[in-house]
This record gives sequence, C-alpha cells and structure tokens, in this order.
Amino acid sequence: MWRVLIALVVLVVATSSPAWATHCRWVVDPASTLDVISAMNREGGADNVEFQIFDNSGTMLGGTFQSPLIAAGGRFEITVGNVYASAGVSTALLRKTYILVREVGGFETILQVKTGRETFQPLHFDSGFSGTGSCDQH
Amino acid sequence: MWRVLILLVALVLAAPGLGWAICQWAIDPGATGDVISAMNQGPVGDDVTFQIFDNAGVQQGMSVPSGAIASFGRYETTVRAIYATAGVSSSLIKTTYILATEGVGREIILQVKTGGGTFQPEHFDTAFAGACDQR
Repeated sequence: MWRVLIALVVLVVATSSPAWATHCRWVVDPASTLDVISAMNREGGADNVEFQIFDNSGTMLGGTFQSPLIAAGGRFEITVGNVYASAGVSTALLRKTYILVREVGGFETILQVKTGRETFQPLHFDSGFSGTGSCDQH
Repeated sequence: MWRVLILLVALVLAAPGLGWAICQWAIDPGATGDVISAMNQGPVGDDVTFQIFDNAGVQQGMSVPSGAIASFGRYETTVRAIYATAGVSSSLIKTTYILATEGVGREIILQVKTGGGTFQPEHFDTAFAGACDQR
C-alpha cells in the first residue's frame, strides 16, 4: 500500500511541473523590420510578454519593452520595427541582434512570426531547456 | 489511507498530460488565401473545429466544423472559407486569430500553406503539458 502511495506521489509531482517552470520564452532572429510578431494567450487569465534585444556578444541593448496585458484568449501584435523602436535600439542593428521574448506571469502563450512570405512558430522553452511543464507545447 | 489514495489517483488523472487532453493549434493568418490542411494519422475518423478570436479574447462568429476526416484522410480549407463560414468579415484578419481544436483523437497534423512557404503550428493540449506531442 505504501509503495503505491509513494509511487502516486512521485507521479503527481513529476506531472505537475508547471509550477516549477521559470518564465517561458522564445527567441526570434528577425529578418526584417516589417516582420510581425503575434502572441496569442490561451491561458485562463490575462498575461503579457516582454521583449529584450541582445547583440552577438550577449549584451542586452536598450530597454525592456513590455506588451500591454493580453486578455485570456486574446492576442497582441507588433512589428519588429516597433519592438526595436520601443526598446530604443536602432534597426540598423537588426542583422547583428536578436529578440528574446519572455512570458511575464503565465505560461500558455503561443508566439508566431509572419515574415511577409511565410509564418513560423518559434519553440517555447523554459530557461533550463528542460521541457518543463507548460513551456513545452509539443 | 484509502481517502488519500483516492485523492492521489484523482490528482494523477487530472494532472496535465495524463488524462483527457484536448489538442489544439493556433494560427495567426497572414492572408485569406492561406490554405489550412488537416491530415488524420489516427486509426479512426476524427474532425477539427475552427474558431476565430479577436485580440481581446472574444470569439467572433460561429464555430466551423470540418466534418469527419477519415483515418489517414485529409481535409483542406482556406482562411477565407473559415472566416466566411464563421460569418466573420475577412477584413478582421489582422486583428484576429484562428483556434483549431481536434475532435476525439490526438493524431491529426495541421499545416498551413502561406504562398511563401508551409509551416506546421505546434500541437498543444489545453494545459500546454505535452499531451498532444507529435514527435
């Protein structure tokens, strides 16, 4: 009996990992200032995302730009040009930088990038790259 | 003791990834001409329902069912047809997105042809817990 109980406790703990995930994030290597980034929040509560720009040496440039709250089931859209402008970074640095997007409070947002010719969906990862709970959409 | 055991069994069943996950995809459409196709790799027929949500999270128009997709069958539609069938103006395409929900199974693959390329949205369960993993 106790073995069953312990096994169940382990199973519960192992499958309830969302609580442990640090903030979920995505990276976007932008190709054009016109690329459109959209975030769709599928969680039960409102959430937002924040954008940071890093250069090739790993130094964050400019400030952090935070989206307004995205309602449950809602959507937020922004262009790469506007992310750079809001962060105070010149778009001339587009080819030598990338965007880190981080969920601020929740977990269940989907990010897609429309490039003009196609759309892609960056993978949702946790900071430990461990596929933790709700950062793992697959 | 038995109460604890029953509670834990209930927790296990309710835990993400183990129980009754509903598989979904989100599609942020780029053009009305984009083509969405669903290929059912499950052993039985299944279906997909499309819903349109605005930026505030409010569903617009009606849900659009695909109809049954046979085992190993395929269903194809366009973004334009989904908006038309849902009764939503396609002029709202830039301020809305499509949520596609799988019917009874978990083995449908969804792909979107945009004209410039094809992409495969991630297949997620409602808790984002990996229960609808395609890999």
